[in-house]
Amino acid sequence: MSLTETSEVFVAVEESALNDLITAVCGTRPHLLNYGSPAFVPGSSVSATQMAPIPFPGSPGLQWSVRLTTPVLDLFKQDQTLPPELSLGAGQFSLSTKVRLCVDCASRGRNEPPGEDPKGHDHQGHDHQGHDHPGEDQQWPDDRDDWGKARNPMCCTLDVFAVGHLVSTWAGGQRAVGFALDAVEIVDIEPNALESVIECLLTMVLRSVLATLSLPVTALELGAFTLTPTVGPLIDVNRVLARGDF
Amino acid sequence: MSEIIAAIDEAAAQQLFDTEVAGLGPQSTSGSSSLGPFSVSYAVSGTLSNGTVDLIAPATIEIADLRLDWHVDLTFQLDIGDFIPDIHIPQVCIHIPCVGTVCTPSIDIVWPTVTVPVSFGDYLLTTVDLGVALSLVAGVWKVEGIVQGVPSLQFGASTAALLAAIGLAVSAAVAWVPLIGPFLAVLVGAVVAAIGVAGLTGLLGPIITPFVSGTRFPITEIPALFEVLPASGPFDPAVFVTVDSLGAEVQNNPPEDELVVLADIHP
Repeated sequence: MSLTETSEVFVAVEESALNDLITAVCGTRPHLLNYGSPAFVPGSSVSATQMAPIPFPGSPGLQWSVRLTTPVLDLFKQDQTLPPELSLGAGQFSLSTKVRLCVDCASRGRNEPPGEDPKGHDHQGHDHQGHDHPGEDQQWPDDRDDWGKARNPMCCTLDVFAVGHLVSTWAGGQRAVGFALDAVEIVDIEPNALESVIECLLTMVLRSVLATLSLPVTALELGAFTLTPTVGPLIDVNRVLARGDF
Repeated sequence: MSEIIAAIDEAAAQQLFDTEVAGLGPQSTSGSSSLGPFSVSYAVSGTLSNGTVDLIAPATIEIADLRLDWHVDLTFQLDIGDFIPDIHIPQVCIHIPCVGTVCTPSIDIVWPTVTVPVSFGDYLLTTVDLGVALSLVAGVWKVEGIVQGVPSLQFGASTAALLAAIGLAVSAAVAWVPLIGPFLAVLVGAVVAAIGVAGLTGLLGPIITPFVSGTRFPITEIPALFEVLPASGPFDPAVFVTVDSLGAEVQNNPPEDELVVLADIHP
């Protein structure tokens, strides 16, 4: 069987190369995976994207951050273990990542146990600094002068799995392949209602992150030949392929 | 197994080589050589146009009927005396009674050396086999088709036409020479015979063959540091991957023969 079949050009990208491309994008532009309000992200940069605090009455806003590790994709057929709630069908990819959710727990007292450092460092005593500041008795101290320093960060890290499919899109005026989510699963959260809420939240986060992550078709074939896809890009067995005109 | 595979079929390869051959543009060279008994200076140019591409596994691209349009400008020195003897008629004096001595003038005809310019062009068709070659030069992977061996170019009817053109050029070049008229046909015939088909092919072959032999036809170029995404803002620098290895081959995947490029990358 010919590679090109009835087309003139054929391109196939193995799963490992697809992950290499995604790693290159996420490694060069880590802000695609790191988001946070000013207490966590002092300003937008290559490393992170600053976003607004979550407004809430009586407070200057809830400080938060979301940080993902570079997602690892597994193209159909399934090679990586998935939670039983997910199955990888033909034409789908699975995605695994770790998501770190942080909030700046501004009301936490001196004697409460420290939260997990958002950067993953041991930070014993770090969460006590806020008590030396004026206004520590206020429930929501206005810390806008101290942006970039979360006083009492509390974080958790979740293993997130998802399945999705490829979509055709455009990037920088070029034909590109994008990633769309079909389902998300987080392991070991109870009660189930909380798990559903977190899954919904992370579905929205992941969907937004993936919307910014697309790969030009030229990158799939390293510009070796000019390809105008008429078939795909689609997921074959452990690879993405496309066929088209020269 | 390679991480990235890109392949084109013969129809696409035909388009690719049509473009690449057209992009080569005219080639030219000049120098001096021998044309039969003559030393000639020449300036020759040639332009290739594509033939029919046939992919042959595992690593050959045959181009049938590759056309080379060529044009040559020749200049050589023709010493007419080499072909027609100089004429020396000595003075003859006769004593005539009552008249005295009467002498004929002595006649010395020394044939000059003239410059003969010849301009001629034609085309030829040839079939060449290209080998697929890979190289990494200055951070760029290059895949090229390189003409294998030295093709035997057949000039055919061109030689007869060029001999005729040389004859005409000789006639024009010596037209000014006094008293050449009765000898012109002899001279032209002698020059053409001295050059002959062998002399022409001995000149044309070595100066025109390089326009075909060793010619490199670009197939594709891939930077070793390949740009996946261009920079698009202060927080979005360009994204690159490194192309660790590259391969190229012709595969027979029935019913197609395909030109395949294989690559491995890392972030």
